[in-house]
Amino acid sequence: MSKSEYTLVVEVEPHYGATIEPVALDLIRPNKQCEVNLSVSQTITESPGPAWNGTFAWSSKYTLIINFKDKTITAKFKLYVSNPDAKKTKWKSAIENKWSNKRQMEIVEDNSKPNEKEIYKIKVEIEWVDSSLTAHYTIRANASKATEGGRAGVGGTTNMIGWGIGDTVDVPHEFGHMLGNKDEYFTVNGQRFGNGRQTNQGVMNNPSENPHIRHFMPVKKQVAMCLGITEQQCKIINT
Amino acid sequence: MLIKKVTYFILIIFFMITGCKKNIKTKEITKKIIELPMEINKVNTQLSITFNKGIFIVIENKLDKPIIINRFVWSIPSLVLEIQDTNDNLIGMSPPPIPPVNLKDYEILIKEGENLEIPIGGINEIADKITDEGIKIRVKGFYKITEGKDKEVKVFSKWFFIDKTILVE
Repeated sequence: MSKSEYTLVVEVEPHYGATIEPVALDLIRPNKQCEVNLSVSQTITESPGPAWNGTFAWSSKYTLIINFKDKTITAKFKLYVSNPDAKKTKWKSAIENKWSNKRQMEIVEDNSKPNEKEIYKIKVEIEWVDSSLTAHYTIRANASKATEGGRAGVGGTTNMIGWGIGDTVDVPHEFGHMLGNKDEYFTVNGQRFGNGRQTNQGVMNNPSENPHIRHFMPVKKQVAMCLGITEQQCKIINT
Repeated sequence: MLIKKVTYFILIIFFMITGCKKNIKTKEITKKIIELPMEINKVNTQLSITFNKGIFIVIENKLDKPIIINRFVWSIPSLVLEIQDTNDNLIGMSPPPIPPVNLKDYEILIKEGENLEIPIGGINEIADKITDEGIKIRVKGFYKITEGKDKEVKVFSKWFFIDKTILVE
């Protein structure tokens, strides 16, 4: 939306003899909302065990809401899980605590005015919905025990949409894929990262860690597309 | 003579149509199992998909010695299932989990002549990936023989064709 599309509401009720003084008016600019549906793929090579080598593909799907008044950018995910044992509240907290308010985005909407920068907080929001038909993703809740039902992994998490009932550590990493991030262990698309779960490598290598600036780049790209500006006009900055 | 030929032709068309209908109906069966005899290494993998229950992989050790498989790896749909469209183009599965630090702890032995059934998730993901033309799916995995623990041997099942009719309950 261009600034010329702002909704401006002015109500003036002059009464007899009064002088109307000019007042500063806040422009009421409606939220901008875009549906994101981005294809992502990665090819893993050079894994020590050959099983991880291969090409994986998925879609990054969410609703992007840019609130010009509150200065927030929210990636909202509608998720559905049918298993009543699923720890929906714990998963939601783990994801939102890991990803929300960790970085901000500096946006210059008008290229001719580079000094007019607006700072937006970046948030993620999980909404549990009652039907897979309205969800961005359907989550499978896996049993926690490593050998139960053949499931394995930290707390039972098996991949992006297979979350362990007892897991709040690996789940935020898997969520990072929904946001559009690739894995950052072994060699991915030719880039070498080394083994997973290293220190100071960020959530896409080590789920115990927080996201780094680069992990918000997929959101930056979507914000630029949503606003109809270039990626260069958006910048991820620390909080 | 011409009438006889036309009647014969109509009958063929009729049987083709009814035959096709019957074929479509059989695809509504919710369970399909395929078995691949692997003559080279004699470790078989079976893939069984029951759409209201899940996906099951059976590893049969027909060797005359035990084999080792990693149960973590074999329970991850992204690591053991390969999907292609009908033109042999890869349809990628969602990204796998980060390997646990204790990955080796998940290694288990399958003795000679024994089977192991592993239920895996991924049924929703497979259902989402079925195109109008249908998809091919197979198992891909690795095992090790006890005498050469470092060497992993790749094993495949046959391709298993499924289309949207399998989703009918």
